[in-house]
Amino acid sequence: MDKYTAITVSCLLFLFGLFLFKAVFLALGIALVFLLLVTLLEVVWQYRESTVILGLANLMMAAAIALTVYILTYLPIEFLTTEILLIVPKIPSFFSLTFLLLLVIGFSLVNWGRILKIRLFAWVLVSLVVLSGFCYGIYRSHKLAREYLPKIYRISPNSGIQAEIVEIKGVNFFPIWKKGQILVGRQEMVVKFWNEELIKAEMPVPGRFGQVELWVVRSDGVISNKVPFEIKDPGELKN
Amino acid sequence: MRKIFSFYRRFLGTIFVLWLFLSTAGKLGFGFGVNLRLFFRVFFWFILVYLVWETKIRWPVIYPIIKTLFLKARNEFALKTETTKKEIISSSPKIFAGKTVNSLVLVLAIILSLFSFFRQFFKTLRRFVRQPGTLLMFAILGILANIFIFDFASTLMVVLLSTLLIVVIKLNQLKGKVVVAVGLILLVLCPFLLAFKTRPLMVEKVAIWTYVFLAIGTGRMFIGYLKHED
Repeated sequence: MDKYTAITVSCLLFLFGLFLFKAVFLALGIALVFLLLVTLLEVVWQYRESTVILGLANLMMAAAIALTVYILTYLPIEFLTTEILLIVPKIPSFFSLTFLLLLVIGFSLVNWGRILKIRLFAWVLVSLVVLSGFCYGIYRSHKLAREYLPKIYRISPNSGIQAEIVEIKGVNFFPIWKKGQILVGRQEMVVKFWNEELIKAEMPVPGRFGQVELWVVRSDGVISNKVPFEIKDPGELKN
Repeated sequence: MRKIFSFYRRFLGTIFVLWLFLSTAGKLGFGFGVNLRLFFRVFFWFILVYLVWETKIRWPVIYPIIKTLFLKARNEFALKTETTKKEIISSSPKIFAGKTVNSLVLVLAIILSLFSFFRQFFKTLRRFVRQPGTLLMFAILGILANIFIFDFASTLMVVLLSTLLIVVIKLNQLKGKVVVAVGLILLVLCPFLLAFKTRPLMVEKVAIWTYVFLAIGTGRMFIGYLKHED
């Protein structure tokens, strides 16, 4: 890039950063990063035919594509499992690592230099990288928004009669000194035990029988996800 | 086998690049659901496997070098022990004779030779450490550790490292421009560390080192300018 063009673009980036973040330091940082990247790219471009740069580029491409595929496949599954379907609070860490390593093994075998020479493949890869960027952005914002919400993962038993103790397992219920409420249907249960991840509550005298919903209202008023719960009629119970 | 090894090397390189990226992103507050400690541990084991494999492949080259070095060291040590033994016997009274005394002299000679060997080793090590390149490496590692690893701010450490930095810059004849450029890179890092709300102490330390680099670089450029004027 021409010297004057680089300076003009960095000035524009500074103004854009100032407008976007309303912070001088951050805008200055963006402009300086741009100048640094331009210099770095010029140096790399100068030595683009050297084996070191080519080898490094191949490694970086393999890592980038592995991460792209990881973002597009694993992160949505993880989000779905832990935040939407609420199957488990956290997937064991070796799952993500094993998946990532398998992707790395697969993509290390590919000669990216040869593939990128085909224009169509190059565009497909660039599109994938951009798409994964968007996907990661959405994942991160939703994950952060839901990170500290109270979540019920499991209740046991999922049906009960009057005075039965129900165990509610989940996360972010707050400690004992910030105890909230447990609602079943619209009735409040009697809390017997409360901590961050486990609540034990006693069924009150039911107002009605049948399928209702059970949820936690935290002390700050935030409510958890609602899980189905069946209130049984003692008269219908068989020996 | 060579093909598999070449692929393994590529795989290891890719893992390293990925780990570097994920750690940097993690430092800036972007998580990818990967346990980085576990990742590093796995990477470390892969590195060990690589080192063993590389050694096994290059064993025909490595073995003669080790053998030559070992034989050389053994011969030198034996020669030194023999010389020391002779010197001890020649400089001691005639009463010290006989088999028992001879063995004692041999033990003494071995101890003295060992002492001399270690002295020579430390002398070489000191010569290596005093080299400008090694000092530069120490200074860089020290500054990086001070910023990213230590969880405390020590004025004494900053002063000592700054002094080392000045000495290193003088010894390596580094230009003022280069030092200022490092300062600018650290300056670029500051707003991002601030924006992504990482450890506040780290940002503070990066700011301190930015100032140190900019001050030293400007000073050096000023001195150069004065010299040029003369």
